[in-house]
Amino acid sequence: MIKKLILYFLSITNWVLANPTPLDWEFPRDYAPHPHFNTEWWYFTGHLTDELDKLYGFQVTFFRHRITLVPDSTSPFNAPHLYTAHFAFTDGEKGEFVYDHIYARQALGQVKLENEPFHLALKEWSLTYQNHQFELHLSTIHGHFSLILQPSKPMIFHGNQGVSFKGTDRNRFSHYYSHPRLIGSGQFQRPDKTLNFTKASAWMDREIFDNLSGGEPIGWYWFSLQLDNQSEVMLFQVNGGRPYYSGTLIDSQGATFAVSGKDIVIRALETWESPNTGESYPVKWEIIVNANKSKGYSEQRYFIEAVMKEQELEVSQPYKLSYWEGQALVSGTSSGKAYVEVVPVRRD
Amino acid sequence: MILLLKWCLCDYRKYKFKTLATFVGLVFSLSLFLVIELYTGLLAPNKNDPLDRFRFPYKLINTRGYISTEQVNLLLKDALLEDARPFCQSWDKIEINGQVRTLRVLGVDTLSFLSEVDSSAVEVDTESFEPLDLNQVYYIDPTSGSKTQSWESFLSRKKGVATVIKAEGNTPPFLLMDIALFHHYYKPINRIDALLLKKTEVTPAFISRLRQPFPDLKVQSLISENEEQSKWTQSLRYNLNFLALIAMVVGAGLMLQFFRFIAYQRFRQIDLLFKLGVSKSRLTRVIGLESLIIAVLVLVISLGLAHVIATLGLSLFTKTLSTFYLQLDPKNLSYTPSIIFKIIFTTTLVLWVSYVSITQKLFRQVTLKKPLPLLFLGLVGVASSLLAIQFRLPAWALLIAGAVLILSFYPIALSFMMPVLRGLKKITAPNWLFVKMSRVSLGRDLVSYGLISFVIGISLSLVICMGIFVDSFRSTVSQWLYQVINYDFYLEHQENDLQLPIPIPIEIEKITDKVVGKEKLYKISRIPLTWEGVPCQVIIVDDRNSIEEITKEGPQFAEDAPNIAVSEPFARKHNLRLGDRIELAGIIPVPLNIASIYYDFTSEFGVVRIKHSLYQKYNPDPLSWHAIAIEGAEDIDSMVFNNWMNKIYSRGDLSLESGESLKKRSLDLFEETFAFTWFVVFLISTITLIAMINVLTIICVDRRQELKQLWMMGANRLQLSKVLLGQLAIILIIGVFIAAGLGYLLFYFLVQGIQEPYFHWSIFTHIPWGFILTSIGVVLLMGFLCPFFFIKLNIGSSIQNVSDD
Repeated sequence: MIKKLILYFLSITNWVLANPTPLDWEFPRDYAPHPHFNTEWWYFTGHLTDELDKLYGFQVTFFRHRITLVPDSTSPFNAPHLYTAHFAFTDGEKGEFVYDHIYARQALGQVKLENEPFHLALKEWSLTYQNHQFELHLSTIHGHFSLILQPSKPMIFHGNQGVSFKGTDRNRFSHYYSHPRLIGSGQFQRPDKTLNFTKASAWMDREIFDNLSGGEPIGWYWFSLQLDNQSEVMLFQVNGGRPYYSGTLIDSQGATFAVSGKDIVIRALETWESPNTGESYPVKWEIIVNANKSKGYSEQRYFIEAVMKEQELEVSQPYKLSYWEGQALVSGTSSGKAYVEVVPVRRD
Repeated sequence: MILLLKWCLCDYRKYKFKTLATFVGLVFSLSLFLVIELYTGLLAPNKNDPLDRFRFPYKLINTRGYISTEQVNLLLKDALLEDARPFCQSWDKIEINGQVRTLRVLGVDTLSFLSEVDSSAVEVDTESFEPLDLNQVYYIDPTSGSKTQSWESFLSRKKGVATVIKAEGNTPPFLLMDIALFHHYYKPINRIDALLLKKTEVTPAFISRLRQPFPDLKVQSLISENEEQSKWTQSLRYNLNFLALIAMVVGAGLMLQFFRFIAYQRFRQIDLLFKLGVSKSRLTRVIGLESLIIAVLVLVISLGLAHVIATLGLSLFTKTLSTFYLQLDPKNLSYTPSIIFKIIFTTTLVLWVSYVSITQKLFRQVTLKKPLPLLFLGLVGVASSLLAIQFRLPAWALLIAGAVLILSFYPIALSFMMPVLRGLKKITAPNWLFVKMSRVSLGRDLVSYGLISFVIGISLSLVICMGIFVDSFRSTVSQWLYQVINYDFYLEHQENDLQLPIPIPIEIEKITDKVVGKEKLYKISRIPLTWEGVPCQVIIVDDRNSIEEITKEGPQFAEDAPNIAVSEPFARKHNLRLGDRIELAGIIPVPLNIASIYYDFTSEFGVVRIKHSLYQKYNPDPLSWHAIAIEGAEDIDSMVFNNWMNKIYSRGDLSLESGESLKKRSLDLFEETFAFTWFVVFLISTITLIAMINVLTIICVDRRQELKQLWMMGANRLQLSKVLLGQLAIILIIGVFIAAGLGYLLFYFLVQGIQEPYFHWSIFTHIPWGFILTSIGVVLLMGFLCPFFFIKLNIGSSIQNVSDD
């Protein structure tokens, strides 16, 4: 009996120790950076419609990377964090894809940060959350891009209160929450013309983590589906070793259903090879989420196709990186729009 | 034609010893020329420099010092500097695989720079989600293939994490680190050497907008920077070019004289060919072909020899002269298209001159009668070249002036020779009649013998020139050392470098204060600075040290005024005079009066001396001391002191050295510095001796007929020797005269035309009479000893030939 109790106690201890503790979320505090983690990002993707009802896609991402400081150095360059930001804009009808990126270490006044209200300014690019809305202002090489977005549905936490595993190794996880449907309006002042967006429907992801890869090269597919029936789907497949699947289904009322690996099937139906980097990216997918009666959702099957193939970002600063982040259209169980990210696994 | 050529070449076999002597001379002189050309090529900017990856088209510098972070902040705020990258540079000595190397150290924004370089050159894991590490040090080496390496000496001092990266190209290895780490190790913070701009074009509007807030900021293009950098090596290139010029003149002289010698010894052969009906044109073609064969042989052998000598010279160079600014790698010795072109051009030119020389000699005699026009021509040449160096001429013009100076001594040699021959005519004493006979053949070919004197003269003049230069420089430096090193002891870090001062640890400073007594200590601090784009050093001295060691009269300033002293190279480099005011941005924010310009041979870049109280007034933070001079403590036992100090400070690289020992070490270092120069002089001296040997063979051959007649008439060996010695004495003595005059003028040219404008050091003339007389004595002795051997050999063979005839 004592032996059993000890084993039971040990198994509980092991479970407690192996499972990371969720963050004690509090908003708007947790919109601000979490400097004790290695990496975090503020990821906005979405769909824009102009006065003529023409569809565009966009991506705006701010990244923070922690830096191991030089001990005892008082150099102004001895900054604790590096911030980078990416911007991409898709005009699927015209077949135009433009992007830009900037970066700076948190030094010499290049990164301005305020926690409440949350304001992050990286050089001439800024993200603000105040009065229950997000504001994005970016002076890019392609023009000034601005958006104002308000949440139209409640914020959701992925995994267990935001602890989202990226593999079977319990050390590989992120703290992950999303605003699955932000609505608003904006403008893109391009050198030749100004695009006014009367409607915007965006997805905002926040991930905060120390270790996603476990030291191994990884890549992933990530999908955010905004369906016409006002429900949303987030799914990802981590590649590298044995594929790892996870996701969250969000119904029209904002209720969430975590979907596990065995219930998710992701098939690439068509690939496109980038002429710039030589990387091969899927551009058409079939996604199946098997029914789970105990959790209360039925089978869903979606066909996702990129509005255009050429949606690859090739970034050289501050490190070389190329990935595919693109707008797509959804058909199947329900129709809608999606944003897909494909980060290839590099095994150099 | 082939048969004719075969017949002609038979002569070389017949006179194989003489041919060999001349041939060796030719090979040596051409090799020397090539060696110098190869070295000059090494000094050219390296086209495969991996650093090119870090060279942006433009960079922003502060002409009055460093760019401060405040300036950077303002520039960034004003959005003037999008895509600007901070850049700092220094150098360090580290031990790699047991060998201490001087390495360039670059401080850059590694977060961006490492991704800009070719991924094959720098392997950096940029996709890891681990924190980015600023403590990483990258050792970029064009040869190393290993990924990581531990350098105990570096890592123990700097505690960095090292990664070795194989780079492409041919350049000395360098260290790359993040600017935050660089600031920590090498530079006071808040200073940036440059901001690299990734712009493809810099518009005047940008420059004017930039200069409005910061008039001292300057945008420098990569092209103009390369020009600026090349100035560092320009002066050495001048010296090498100058030596190459001399080598070329010696070589050309030897070659000319070689072919004339061939022509002489074959008068009878040519006569016979004419009588057999060979036409002039055919004979000319044969001689042309013959010249070509010899030239090609000389060229091929010279190429091989040059490479061997150059490699040996470079290893000597690496051990002596090698500095941060000038690191040459024997692996980089390469025959660039430019060098190949020069070799072909020189060989063709010499070939053409020799061909003309033979054909002229065969068919036309040059007769010179009046010495005065020649003397006048020579003096005009000398005067014009000396006048030319008064102006700041470009390199090519200076070289031409140097060539004119050297070549002017040829007509002077001829003009000296003519009156001597006339003088010989007047000899009537019977014992001197055989000497008088020397004039016969000398007079018959004054052009050739004048050339021989000239060649001997310029070779010896180089020895004399270098003798005067080194002795003058050594005396000047020695005098300066005795003025500057006037304390009993100096305490400093053994690895202290001009641009890399290492502070004395605070614990040592405190204990020295207590043990020796503050009143006996004179503390010195050094701050590396880049002023108007030129590295220099600011030295903060104790207030009791006078900085008013005025060497030139100038305006007097109030004692409490911000007075500074600058070294002579600093003043000359920046065209500063006593009384001028300068600003040292980042050091002292007010204009400073130049109250003194003093001699200083520490660095050709220059030194600024500031009193401690003046510096402290604007920089209240405690200062790091880099050296402590001790006065009035003669009783210190330096060995005991060093042991005691190293017990406290276990790293063992601090040292207390007496002033006398420091002076001796400095002078030893000076001697080492000139070892390479003497190596080149040795090569040229070797050629001089070979030229002399050659002269003797010609005299013997040239006078075979005359000797035959004298022998028939009953003259003995001694009398025949007198004839030859007389002729040789005239050639040698005129050569010595030329060497004395040209040697001094070359020294003057080297100091006034090359050293002062580029190194900015005053050098007081000091003539080493003993050395010069010894050198002349050795040449004369060699000249007069050799005939006994050659006379024995040649007269014997000549007489044998006569008997055969």
